[in-house]
Parts: sequence; C-alpha cells; structure tokens
Amino acid sequence: MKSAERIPVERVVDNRTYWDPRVFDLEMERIFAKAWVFACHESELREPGDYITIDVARSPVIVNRDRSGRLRAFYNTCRHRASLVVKDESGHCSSFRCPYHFWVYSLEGELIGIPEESAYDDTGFRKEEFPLVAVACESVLGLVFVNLSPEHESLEDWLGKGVIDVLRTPLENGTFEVFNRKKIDVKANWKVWGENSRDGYHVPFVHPFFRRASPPGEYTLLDNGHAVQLLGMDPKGIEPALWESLQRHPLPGVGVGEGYIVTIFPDLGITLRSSVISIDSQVINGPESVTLSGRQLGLVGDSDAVREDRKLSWLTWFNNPVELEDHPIFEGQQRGVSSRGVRYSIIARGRDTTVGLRGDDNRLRHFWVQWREMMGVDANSIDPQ
Amino acid sequence: MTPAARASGYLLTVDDLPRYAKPDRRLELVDGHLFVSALETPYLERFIANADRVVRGAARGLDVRTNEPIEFDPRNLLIPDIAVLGEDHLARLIVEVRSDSTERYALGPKRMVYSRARIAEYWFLDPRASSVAVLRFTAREPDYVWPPRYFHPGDELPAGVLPALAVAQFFG
Repeated sequence: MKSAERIPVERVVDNRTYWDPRVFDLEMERIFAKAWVFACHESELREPGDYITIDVARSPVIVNRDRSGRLRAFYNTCRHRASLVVKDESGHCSSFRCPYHFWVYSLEGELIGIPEESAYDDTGFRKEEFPLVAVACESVLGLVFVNLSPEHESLEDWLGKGVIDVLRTPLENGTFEVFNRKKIDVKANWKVWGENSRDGYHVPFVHPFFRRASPPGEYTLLDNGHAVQLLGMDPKGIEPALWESLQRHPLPGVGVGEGYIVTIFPDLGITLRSSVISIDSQVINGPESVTLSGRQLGLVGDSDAVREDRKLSWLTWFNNPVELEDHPIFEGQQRGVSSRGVRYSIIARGRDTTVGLRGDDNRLRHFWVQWREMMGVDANSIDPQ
Repeated sequence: MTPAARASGYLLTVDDLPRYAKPDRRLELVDGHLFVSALETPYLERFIANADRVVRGAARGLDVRTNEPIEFDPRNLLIPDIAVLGEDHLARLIVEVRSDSTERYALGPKRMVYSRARIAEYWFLDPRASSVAVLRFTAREPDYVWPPRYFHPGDELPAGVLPALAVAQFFG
C-alpha cells in the first residue's frame, strides 16, 4: 500500500472500481445514463418498422425506424404497468403491442390502443399523455447511438471531429451492412475490455501473431476519452496463403494493410483492418459480467466469396485474438482485482503524451481522465484513502 | 359507448366500431374487446402481397380474400390478412402475418376466435423469423393443437385446405 502512495493518484486504480456494486451503480447513473451509447448500425434498421432492443444503464430501450424513415428510440417500458413492451433483440412490426394488457403504441411512440378504453372515462387518464417515453437517438456515418440524458450535447460534438474524420474512411465511401455477429460472455467488469483495447503494452506478450504481423501505428488521444490508433500489417509475419486472402477486397479508400482502432468512451471499439470493419460494444450484465457484442461490416452487394474473405480477416485480426488470447486475460484480471490484499493496480508507465507509437499507460490514463470527470471524483476510486 | 356495452362491462359490438375509426388504424373485436392496430408497414404490405400471390396460386377454385373483415357475430370481427373461403363462403384457411412486436394477439385472442369458428387451418407467418406456424384441429380436440407446428424455408407445408406448398415461396 505504501509503495502505491508514492505514485500520483491518477496513475493508480482502486481495484474495487472493478467489482464494487456502489461504483457500478454510480457508473450507470453518471456515465452510461449521460454518454452517447452505441446501439446498432443503420443497416439493422433498414425498413420503417424495423427495431432492435438494448439495455442502456440498466434501462431497456427500443431503437426503431418510424413510418417516415426517422430513427427513434424509446424506453422499452409500457406506460400502463411498466411491463417490457418488446422482448426480442430485433424484429419488424407495424405497432408495438405490450404482451401484458395489449396496450398498443405506434412506431412514433404514440399510445393508439387500449383494450376496454372506456373504463378510463372520468378517471383523469388521457391516452394522449402517455406515449412511450422518448430517448435521444442520433446517427453518424451509419452508426446509431442513444443517450438517456435529457441534457446532452449532439452526437457529433460528443464524438468530435477527430473521431469522425477517421471513420469517414471507409464509412463514407460505400454502403455498408452488418454481415456477421458474434457475442462472447466474459466474467469481467466493463472497464477491463475498455482498458485492454487501449493497452499496447500487453500486445507483444499476449498476441504473438500481432507481434510479428501488426507493427505499432501512431495513436492520438482525443477529447471525451476517445482515441485513435493506426494499425498496420507486415506481410513478413503472415503465412503467405493467409496474406493472399488478407490483401483481397480492401474497403473503398483503404489501402492494403491499412487499418485503425477507434476507441470511443465509454465502451465502444471500431476497428478497421483493410477489408473488414468490426464494431465491438458491450452488453453490461453486472459489475463483473459483460457480453462482448461484435458486428462486422461489409459492403452491400458483396458476393459470398468476398464475405468469406472478410470473415477470415475478422477471424484473424479480431475474433481469434480476443476470444483465444484476451478472454482468459480479462477473466484472470477480474479474479485478481477482487483480491482483498491488493487495493491498487498501476497505470504509471510512460509520459502523458497525446500522440506517439503503440503508447504506454498514458492511453489508459486518458480513459480514466474521462471516467473521473463523468464520475465527479478526483481519483480513480470513489473513496480513496 | 352504447348503453348495452356499458351494461356488459365495457364490451362493444360491431355497431360501436365507427365511433373509434381512424384512417390509419385497424379495428377488430374479440368477444366485445376492441383491439387497435396500426396499418401495415410497406415491408409487411409487400410480404402480404407475396403471400397472397402464393396462396392464390395454390387455392384453385377457392375464394381468396385479402384484408377483408369477417364478422363472426356482433362481438367478434377480425380482419385477417388472407382468408380462403370454401364454396359455402365460410373461411377454411386464415393466414395472418406477424405485424405486432409481440405475437400474443395473433396466437392468443385471434386464434381463439378462429378456433371457435372451426376454421380448419390457421397459418401465422413471421417474416423476420422466416417461419410459418400451422394450427390445425384433430378430431377429438375442441381447439387447435397446441403448440403449433413450425415450418421454415426448406420445409414443405403438408397438404390440407391447400395442396402441399414449399415454405420458401413465402420468404423469397
């Protein structure tokens, strides 16, 4: 403990922040209920009537496309007895009908049907005053986000020019759609993956393929806890037959071997690897449980053969490293932070630069700066001693 | 609400429906309970149009109706997406396409009315799940056999009111 005290507070993390329910409750309230949280890609809401459901800060939310084509979001909670209106993860409908007492809402959220409605005569209840409660929903470059807070900046302002300009290539250069989904259950706090995706230090040790095939690229730390790191490919470290496939079908405007990872606070990663984009977010199940939720984008009109190549690229650069190599690290770290005898972990490595190659713990500290700001605390803890 | 409806505990009859009518709503009655739905989305309209084409192609000699109300009695009026009528002008097959976020209305109250009317078959098509739930009677049961049998593209719907049909035709 004393050794940790000599390190500035912003360079250590209270391990209780990874499992303490009090911290988790505050994070839901102060971070996830205030930030723009990724919901889906627009290709998942192609038609008026398409919807998906997600949980944001423990609140169930419907995101849908209404009859005019506008994206909307609502709390997935019936105004009658607060039952979940929609249970499926995705679907298509012309109206939302609550399964309990069959109250019906339009795609615009208006309450349009109540069985035995006349029973409410002279009770003060007015149907028009009880629509589904709206949630802010905006989209940038086909990426749909929601924000539970009534007071929020625009999505564009939240992401900032630095993030959006990077994502323009290739998202602005073609029509994309989700062609693959993958979910992985992880017994770890949501910050474990968030930090890992900003941690260049572990890469040479945990990911032998990356060590020889993915030279470190330049990173830039941006406002609101977001960051960008460029990624490369080194053919000398890749088996020739695999390299032959990885070179094929680069996305529009992207050179062979080019790529990046954009980490968006609090828990979104968007990674480009030449021929495929992976959007990775988290379903937060509790303080020590998440489901990593990945979506892979290809171009509308890709042939099956092209999709196979994109999928191989995703398996090579994303799925296999995360599922086979990072996953045990996530769960091992989660078990370790629960130790009563070790209060702090260290993110002291390196200087506080905002640009560089691969990077040190400055990229993790950048994440924690935003965490402290949104949590309203001065240390990486809610009760430092 | 009519005095008769109030006396029977908020229940309505078909005569009450015009007072609730709106151009963008579909009104149905099940045992006097009013069920309001939104009109179909363009996607569902296209899906129903294709299903209608498939059913008409198979229902040679039978009368096929689309989106037409069927009044079973003064307290029960439904508007099935597709109905196949026999020579006696009574419905023998009902085809409904999932249009609500939950399937409980179609497989709950609506099923009950169709079953009570002894309509031989009830198909429930779910466009996004690419499934057809088929409900039929057995000789000894008062209701459709539950749970329904589900069919998917690659399956064939067994012959009944219509000859056997490839499920894939509905989801092409």
